[in-house]
Amino acid sequence: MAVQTPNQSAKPLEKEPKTYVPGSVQPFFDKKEARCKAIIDRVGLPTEVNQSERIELRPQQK
Amino acid sequence: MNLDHYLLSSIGDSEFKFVSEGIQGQILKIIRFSVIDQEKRIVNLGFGDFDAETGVVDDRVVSSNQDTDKILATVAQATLLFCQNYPNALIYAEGSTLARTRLYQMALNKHWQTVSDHFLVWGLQHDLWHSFETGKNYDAFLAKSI
Repeated sequence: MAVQTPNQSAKPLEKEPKTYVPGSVQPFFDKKEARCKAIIDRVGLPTEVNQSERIELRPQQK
Repeated sequence: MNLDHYLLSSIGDSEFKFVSEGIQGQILKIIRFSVIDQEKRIVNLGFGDFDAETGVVDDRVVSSNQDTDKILATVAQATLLFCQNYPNALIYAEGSTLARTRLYQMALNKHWQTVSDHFLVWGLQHDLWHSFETGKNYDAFLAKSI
């Protein structure tokens, strides 16, 4: 009786773990951002937020 | 902020990562601050688990690492760091489920003394923003660094 040996080539290849790519397209974040935009468009900002402070969002000068 | 938190690694000036460690092992968490409206200075705060198998970030997974307080303190720390670069940003945060939003609210209640030293916080209630008060339920939060 022939001895059966495991067929190495039939073994499924293990998937290479993925690493996080900064700024990559992520449906989860896209969905959260769309929801945030919809809510702010609908309800606006708190009245306490000084309207005169409405300057463009830009990084602090270093 | 004097709360026990994980070591943060910044990825550019709008993303951070850290590793949650608990009974389920190590879980890579990604925090992303996305500018939604330049004029209104609205920035969305999103964070979730990175799945190395799929390459996808999601926060619907219940990771059960029993380190919620430490994770939320880490997210608060990242928000502080982001606001150092963007001091006039209004950070919008909301859980992906009602239960998650409640969880954030409970953390704000618990650490309000510390949080209020660093941020002005508003809570959204019936489509109106109110100054945050402990013990009240809100649908979303908006924070600005002091």
